[in-house]
Amino acid sequence: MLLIQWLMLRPTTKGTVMAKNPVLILSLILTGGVAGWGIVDTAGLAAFASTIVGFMFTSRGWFIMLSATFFVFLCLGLAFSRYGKIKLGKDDDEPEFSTISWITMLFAAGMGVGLLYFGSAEPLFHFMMLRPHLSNPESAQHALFATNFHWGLHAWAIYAITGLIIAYFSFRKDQPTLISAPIRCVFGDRGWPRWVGGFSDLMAITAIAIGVGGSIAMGVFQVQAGVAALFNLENPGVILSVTIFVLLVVSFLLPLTVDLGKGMALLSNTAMAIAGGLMLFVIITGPTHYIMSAIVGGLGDYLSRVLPHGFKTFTFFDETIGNWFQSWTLTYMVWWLAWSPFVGVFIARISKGRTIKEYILGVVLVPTMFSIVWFGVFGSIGFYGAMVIDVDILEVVRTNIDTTTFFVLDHLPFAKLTIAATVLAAFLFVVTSVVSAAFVLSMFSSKGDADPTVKTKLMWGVILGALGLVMIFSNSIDAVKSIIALGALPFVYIVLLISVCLLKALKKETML
Amino acid sequence: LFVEGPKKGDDAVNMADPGFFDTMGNIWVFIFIGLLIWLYFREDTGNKS
Repeated sequence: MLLIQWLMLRPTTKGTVMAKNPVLILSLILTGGVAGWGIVDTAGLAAFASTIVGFMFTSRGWFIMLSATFFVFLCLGLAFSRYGKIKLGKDDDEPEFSTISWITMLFAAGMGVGLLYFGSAEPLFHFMMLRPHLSNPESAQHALFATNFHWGLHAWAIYAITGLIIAYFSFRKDQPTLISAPIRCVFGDRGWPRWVGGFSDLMAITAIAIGVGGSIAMGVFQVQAGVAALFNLENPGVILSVTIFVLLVVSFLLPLTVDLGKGMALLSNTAMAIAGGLMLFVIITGPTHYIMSAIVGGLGDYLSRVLPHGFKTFTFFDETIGNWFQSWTLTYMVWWLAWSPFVGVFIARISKGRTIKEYILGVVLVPTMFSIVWFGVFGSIGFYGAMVIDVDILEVVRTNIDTTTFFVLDHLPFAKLTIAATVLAAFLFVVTSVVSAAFVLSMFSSKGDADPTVKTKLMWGVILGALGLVMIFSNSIDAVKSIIALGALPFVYIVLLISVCLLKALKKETML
Repeated sequence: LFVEGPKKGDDAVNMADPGFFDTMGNIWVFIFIGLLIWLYFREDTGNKS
């Protein structure tokens, strides 16, 4: 009851945020509590997250899949309906960026440390699991499809819908940039919409904070594996993890104290250029025809199976497949939900002045195509290693998945250089993600204030660092996935609710 | 307590409820979906924008 009363307090002014902003206080308590628990008892938190998430996935996996597929159909429906012509802004607003710049920025949104980490590792993991049941070529085909499915339309439909709702209500309805804004705008600011709105902001903050904490851990695992590969370290150990972590924290706390603006964009573009360059390098120096064929084949396979696959829940399969479905497909879907308010704010900001149709086609199709090409390249070179030249890459995936990307690069020319570039890109992706996340979290926890105080940003920087540390201590990518899923699970209900708000607002607008 | 229900060989093997929280959670989902549909068709004034 106290929680509800707190959430119902009126918005506050800058400077007295801590005294009067319940969402900030509650979100700090909640995320700080999770971080504290994780630091004191990492194994306990990981086991708790795994139990709850396992139960939720078994019990409500069907609902998560149905929701993700619903977002795909909602995107397509909105793009090709009469609502598609509505602008994300006032009727006379023009797009802030040229279409080429916009598409480049969407590529940037689609990039991240996850692609560097999972590029070869994920397709090979699925391949390894399928091999006892299917032939090698069939296993490779299904493995690539599963990976593309996880990173494709469904992921981007979740991002697109959240971003669309943020953009529509911010730019067209002049509401603050908050997850609660659509609820308050459509249903009013009294009674249930007020506390459901406050709860939604709280859950959005929690989902982002825990999701980005996971990204920090993944970045540290990736950088650590890269440094170990560069200097031939057998067992890098905790000291290296902590050193990388401290370096990361210093790198992201400093930019939070000053407005680096263009500096951060430069860092992000550098990371993106390295990743893009790496992909081209693998295409050119690797087995080019094999890779290109895999991309085209993967695209065809994806297009022909993606929509029906969105309804697959593997109900009648054995426990192995069931566990695989939970720990990959369902985990990814909630992972995208965790990141959606954060990525949504970014894509909303760059899409002002575009029509809903333009926005959806751009946001859903461009990054999906990019993911298909990326996994086509890094997945196929992994399959090439496993099936054609028969190197021990599957053993690497089985025993030390963090090092898979570096194992691939180590078998191509200029290995030291490309591994160092990958380490740098992973580091930069994490720094820019954390700086942006701290900004979005500060904005969400300051009633949508577009210029949050340095103190608030630093507080979020510290919390994100602590959450990252917890997940590093867990020393397991599976534990990281469970903790992220735990933070994101409630958010599925919130995205569905704000989707209804959008549909109601669009219906009302076109009826006028 | 969660989704573990009766197993093969138990006296109570039947096709009934596999777990209290599982059933209640799914009922909540049905109610939630119903609520969303109701909210969509309900007349609202909302905030002036």
